[in-house]
Amino acid sequence: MTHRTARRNGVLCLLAVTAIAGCATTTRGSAGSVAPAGVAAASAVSTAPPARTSAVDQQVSSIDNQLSTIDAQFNAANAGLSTSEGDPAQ
Amino acid sequence: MNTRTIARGVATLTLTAGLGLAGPVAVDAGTTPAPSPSATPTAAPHSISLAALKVRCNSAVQRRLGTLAADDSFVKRSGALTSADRTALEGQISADQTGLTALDKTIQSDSALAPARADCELIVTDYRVYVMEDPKIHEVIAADGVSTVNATFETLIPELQSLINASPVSATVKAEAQADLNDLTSKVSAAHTSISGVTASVINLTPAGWPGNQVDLKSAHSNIGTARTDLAGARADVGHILQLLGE
Repeated sequence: MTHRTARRNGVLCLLAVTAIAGCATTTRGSAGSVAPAGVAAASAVSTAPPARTSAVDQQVSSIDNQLSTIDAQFNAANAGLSTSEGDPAQ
Repeated sequence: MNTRTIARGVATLTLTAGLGLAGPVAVDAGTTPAPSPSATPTAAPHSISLAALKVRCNSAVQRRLGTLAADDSFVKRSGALTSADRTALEGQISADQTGLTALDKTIQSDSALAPARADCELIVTDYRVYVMEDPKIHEVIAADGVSTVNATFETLIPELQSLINASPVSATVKAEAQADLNDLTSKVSAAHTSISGVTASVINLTPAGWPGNQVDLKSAHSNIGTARTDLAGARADVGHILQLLGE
């Protein structure tokens, strides 16, 4: 009996959540539909950068990483060039 | 390659670089007994026992194997190395590892001091791990890295040109951005010239050519440094262009 009541409450709760979510979507959708086209476009620009800029950012980031690696290897080579190799037999 | 691995590699390299900046270091000097200030005559180096010599030589081999293992790790992880260069370096490292391991076995089985000493000297003269192989590997990775960055810049340049052309900024600002892009293009071209032939000049150097081939290593290092300076300038140009365009 208790189990059945719990199940029924659970189903009701799920229905309520679904209904609230549906209302929210409808409200947001209608607000968007009445907004001026310019506002919608501006909103899109502010949230998603242009693909070209994004590609440039990726390339710049890649260059920065590669330069960092070059620096590390360059310094490591310098360390070797400043080393003399002692004879372990002496 | 995760961030922790990169950080560990950079830390190792920084430490190695720090050692280098401290001036020439005799890598095996630590294994040589320090002179005693006592009145008792100091034991001459040649009076070392066979057993002690074997321990010292084994230690020298193990340290070099450690360096080669670290180098091998860099070579395997590097995203900049060309396939041919990676294969060549891996082959050289593997040959050195095999050779040093076999040499150590030979030394450990030597039954007299003189042949053990002669074999022990080969650890240095037949491999030149610290002064040639290790810096050579780092130089090849760095040189190939410069080529990789050049290629990325060459992809980026037309993208930046399009951004400049399409930008709504004033003509004056656009002209300034264009001047930066021209400078960037010139610096990338200079880096390309500096790095041309660098890898080929060092990748096949062998211990047999030592110390003459030290000149090649230093020349390669200088060219990489020049290219790196140009790339730093090119990178600064990119930043300025994006700033001017408000990107």
